[in-house]
Amino acid sequence: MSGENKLIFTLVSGDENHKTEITKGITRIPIKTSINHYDDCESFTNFLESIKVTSYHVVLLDMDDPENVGMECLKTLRGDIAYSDVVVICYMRVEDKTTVEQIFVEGGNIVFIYPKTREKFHEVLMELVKINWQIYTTGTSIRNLILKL
Amino acid sequence: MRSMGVSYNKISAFEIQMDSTANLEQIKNISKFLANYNIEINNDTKQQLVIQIKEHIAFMINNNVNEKVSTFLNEKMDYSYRYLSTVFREVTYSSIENFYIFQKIEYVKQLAISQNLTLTEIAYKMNYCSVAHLSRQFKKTTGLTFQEFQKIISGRKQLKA
Repeated sequence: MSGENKLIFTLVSGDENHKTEITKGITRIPIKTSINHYDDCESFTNFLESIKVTSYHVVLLDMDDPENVGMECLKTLRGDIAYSDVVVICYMRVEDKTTVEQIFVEGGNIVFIYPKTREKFHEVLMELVKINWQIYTTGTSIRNLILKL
Repeated sequence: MRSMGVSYNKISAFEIQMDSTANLEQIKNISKFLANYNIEINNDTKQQLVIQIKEHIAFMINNNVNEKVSTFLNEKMDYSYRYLSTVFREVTYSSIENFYIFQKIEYVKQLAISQNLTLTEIAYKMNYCSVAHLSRQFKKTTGLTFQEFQKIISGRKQLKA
């Protein structure tokens, strides 16, 4: 795979199972990856402020958090121009049209329904890899990137 | 780069070709300098082919070339479409066709946002055989109907206002 296609995932979710499943799923992707995990928006934004965010960063937000951490993080990210180039991927367990629309309106880029099987999860991650490659090698505007997988 | 003693030709907006007489030390220095901007020197033939394919596809979309992507690439490149497809998939995990459709739909979104065009107007402008075909392709690629997409864009504008 191209050297352009290395990805740094940052997951914000309070769900330990998701942390484990997503980490395992990401290690199965045939490109260089790394993952950071945060439970809340404050530690996530502290992390962002401490690093130089590059185009290889992808943020994964759990939108089913009872305390609405995902939406809070999305609003924080999109409220700061420094992070305007970061692809924000949001996921939920059950599709809710109103929430999906709100995510996109607030600046989320990709929404997916958390897959029930490992294989399906791998397919979703591979789709994210392909989309990411297309974005960063073609000058596709992240602002217009609105996809529901 | 010229200040480092290396001449180059500009190939496209995203690509330059360095003088082949550049020595290893000069190339190392340039690599180090470019890395600060997340730019890499590409020595990989397959990646170079992929870059060319992407540029031809961008040309097709921006100039409304009404030809099959396989025919167009066959005409423009010195390789069979089958070989190009294999290389493209190997490097990107995506098929040329999927890439082409994804890029076309990105262009559709641009037209809808920047020029406020309707789906009918876009279908006509981009030489689609029918609005229904474009509508299906949009839904399949983005997971959203064109109307849902427009509603989101309108919501974003309201949020900004």
